[in-house]
Amino acid sequence: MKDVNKVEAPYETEEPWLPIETKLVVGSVIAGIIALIVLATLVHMFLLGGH
Amino acid sequence: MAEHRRWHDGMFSTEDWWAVWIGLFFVLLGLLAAATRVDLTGWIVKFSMWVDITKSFRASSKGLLSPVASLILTYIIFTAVTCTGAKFMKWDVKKYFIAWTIIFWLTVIFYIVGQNAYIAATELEWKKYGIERGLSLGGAYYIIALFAGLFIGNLTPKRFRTFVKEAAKPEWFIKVAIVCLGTKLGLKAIEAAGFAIHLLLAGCCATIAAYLLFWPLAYTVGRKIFKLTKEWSACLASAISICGVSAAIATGGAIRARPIVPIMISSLVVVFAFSELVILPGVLTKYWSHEPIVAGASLGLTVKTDGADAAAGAILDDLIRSKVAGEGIHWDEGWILASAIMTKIWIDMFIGVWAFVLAVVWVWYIERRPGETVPKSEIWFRFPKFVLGYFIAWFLVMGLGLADIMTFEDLKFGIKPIEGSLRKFFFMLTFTSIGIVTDFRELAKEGLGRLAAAYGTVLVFIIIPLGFFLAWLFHHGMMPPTAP
Repeated sequence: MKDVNKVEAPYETEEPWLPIETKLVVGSVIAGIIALIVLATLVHMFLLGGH
Repeated sequence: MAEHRRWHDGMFSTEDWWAVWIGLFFVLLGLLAAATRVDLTGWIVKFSMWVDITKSFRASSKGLLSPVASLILTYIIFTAVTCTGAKFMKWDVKKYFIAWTIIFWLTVIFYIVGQNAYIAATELEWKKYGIERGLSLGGAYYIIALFAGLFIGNLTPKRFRTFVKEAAKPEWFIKVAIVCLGTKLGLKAIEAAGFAIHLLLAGCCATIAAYLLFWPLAYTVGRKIFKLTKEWSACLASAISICGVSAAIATGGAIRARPIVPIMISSLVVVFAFSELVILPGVLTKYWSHEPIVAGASLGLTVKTDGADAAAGAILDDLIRSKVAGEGIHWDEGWILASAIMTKIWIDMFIGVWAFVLAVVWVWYIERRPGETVPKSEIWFRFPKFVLGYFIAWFLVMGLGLADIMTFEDLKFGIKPIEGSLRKFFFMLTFTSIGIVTDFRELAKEGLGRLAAAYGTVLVFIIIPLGFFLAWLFHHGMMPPTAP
């Protein structure tokens, strides 16, 4: 059982980085970049052009 | 667990819902005043800049009550509504009442001191107050409340500061203020509907991009550089990239982290948000006063508590408008603050969705608990309810005005004391409370050093630069309407 109040918990065990974490992180960043490009383009076309 | 909860659970037992009830109570009072032209809101005390202290406060409606009667009535009514909330939330009402009374009257003093013309008047206002020099600090009353609160929370006897914390509720006070702020946006939107909608959409787009980029980057830094476990890193990433305390707690619940994890991270959030509150408005005013909406949105994306964000936005609004007033530009008050709050509101709104996504990812991929499902109702339970109050207040006032059901003048008559005097006083209560609950000893606690280093690193090298860039990308060129 984990000790619920152990303050040193962040460093108690080093957990190996899992392949699924790579997938999720890379997937989110790619989705973020796509969202950034698409939304920024839309905002520039339809909103910021008017200011 | 979630499957046993009903949709209306917590409606009368959480701070979030009580911010909605109190905020909407005052909004409806204002609308009733607007509909009947009976002055139901003019009693709220209004603080003004002064040289003669007898003119430092008065009733919002001039001549309705004497200044002292207005102040006492405000105390009685605010005390009654917040104590009602405290009772429903099962707090110790007696303790709350005494601590609230201390905080209320201290805040009144800080407000009066901070509004002294020698401290607050800008150079352009000196003549109006018959003074020849001053500090020109604009919204200094917020800073005074903050530092005085900080003094109380860190340097007064432990017994006293622990007791006063019973009523130091920055998140609750700011949420009430934000619900009331919705009416301000409603009034403004009647005059500038197009700009308000643009601000809303741009804030939404910036937030979506920020969510998807901030979280994985913060998580990776926590895991790879600071060697935190998945549990700590996920909560840290949510706290720093989304919405501080609420996000840390929501994520803790979603991934079933131990209770200590979001609690420890929350203490870091508060301390770092305080630092941002003090530093960022000045920096943004210096370098981005020509992009006021970008500057406001930058705060919304980078300051991680609602209280500190709205507070920093209020300071920024005052500082930037004071600065450009010297160049002959007079922007309408409140739009810079609105841009700071708008992005933060979107961030708050998506907490529920993000917590749901994390819960699904953790159950299906990270911890692999086959067959276990995450109910969609989790989105509703984690949705910040005060946001509903903000939008109801906004659309109600805007709708009544745009549909010509009430005239702009009538709405202004009833709503002005709510969106002005009341909202600003709750802002002040927030500042005093932020100071009181910000405990710098937390940083010195054993075990927090590395976590604080991780938080600081992510904040300085990822969240702030990327947040500023996103704010610029989605808001550049947007200017607040000029003051009428």
